Amino acid sequence: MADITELLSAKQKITDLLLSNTGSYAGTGISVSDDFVNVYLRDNTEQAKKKAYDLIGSNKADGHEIQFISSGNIRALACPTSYTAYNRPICGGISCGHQKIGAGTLGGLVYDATSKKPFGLSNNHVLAASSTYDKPQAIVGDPIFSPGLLDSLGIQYPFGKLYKYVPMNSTTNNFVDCALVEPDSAFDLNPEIIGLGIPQGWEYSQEGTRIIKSGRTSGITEGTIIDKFASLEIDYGGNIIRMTDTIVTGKTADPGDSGSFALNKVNNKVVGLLFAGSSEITCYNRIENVMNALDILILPTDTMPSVQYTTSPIDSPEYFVQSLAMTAIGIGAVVGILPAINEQIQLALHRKFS
Amino acid sequence: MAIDILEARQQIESLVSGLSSGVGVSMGSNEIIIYISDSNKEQDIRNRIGDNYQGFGIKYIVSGKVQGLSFQ
Repeated sequence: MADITELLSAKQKITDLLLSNTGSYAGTGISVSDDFVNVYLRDNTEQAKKKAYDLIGSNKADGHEIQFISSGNIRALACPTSYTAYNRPICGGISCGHQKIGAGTLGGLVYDATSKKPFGLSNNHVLAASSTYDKPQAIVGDPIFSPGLLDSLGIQYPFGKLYKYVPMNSTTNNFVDCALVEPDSAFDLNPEIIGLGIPQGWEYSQEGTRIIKSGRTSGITEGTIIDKFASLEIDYGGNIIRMTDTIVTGKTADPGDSGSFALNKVNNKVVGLLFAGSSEITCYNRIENVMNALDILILPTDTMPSVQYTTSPIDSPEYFVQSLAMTAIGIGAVVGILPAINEQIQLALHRKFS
Repeated sequence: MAIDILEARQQIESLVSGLSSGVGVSMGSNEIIIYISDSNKEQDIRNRIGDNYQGFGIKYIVSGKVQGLSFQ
């Protein structure tokens, strides 16, 4: 085991050298058990590593090995306190929806089981407007808005696209009401849920478990699971759908809360996905059924894939090109409004180049 | 022959089809739950099923109409 005081001293020396000189480095740290001084890289390139050695004047920090860790850009992940305001990145619990609905709730961050790409999870009736096999109401690729249009007074703030949904069946039993949104940028999804922190993976629900949820309308509420085998007829705007394997608690939700995660209050593991309720009860899909249907995972913090960005959206080439185009459009508008000036400019250019 | 509670639940489901909004199970108390959307139908269902079915208790919950909880 290395001497922690020595390591901290070595770290301090290279911190000032690296962080004040270039944008390639996001931070420094130490690994006491390995005797490493860590350098967190925004750009994981050989050039950045070589430049670090040059700035330090050695390939060691006061005799300690330097370990480079690719971190990407590191941003504050503070969750907003408002459920219905515009916020980026987006947390679980926040208002969202398809253009055909007013508002529901984004449950939280999940990962594709194969690619490990991040997605937002909510209900079919929130993200795909209650699409059934015989009456699809949405198509994959439709924009998804946050906040939902009811909360933005109709102004469209897209944050991603409908990626996948499980159509409901009007004639047989259904197990899930679920859909995924693919964020335009993985950076736009914060793993936290407003007021509840980051879920620590998932587990099977148990009768008697105290659950907690955070949703767009009623905020944070708690309830106890009284049933996890319920088959219920659910009214989706006049279309009756039979849902089975349903978790039931006392009333924990109001309209607009659909899509919220139900967490075991004791360990913050996800057990259900809120989708329906009445004046007396609230209903959740079992989370294992949702994960099977969509082929997704809900991962604890220590196994989440890191989201790495070499540029923030505002630094990106696309943003630069977009800004340039907007500037050109602006100039064009001015030129259009002032044709006399335009004529003089054209004339001057003609003279210059002819 | 004795049946398990999930089997009994299935049977109750078909017995109250069209009258209740759903059926579930409370494993802890060994009861079958019947959800009733309209309190006017409660007595009708009680008369049909009673307080016990195949040795399992029956619990009635007047749930009201159960609906998707988004704003449409």
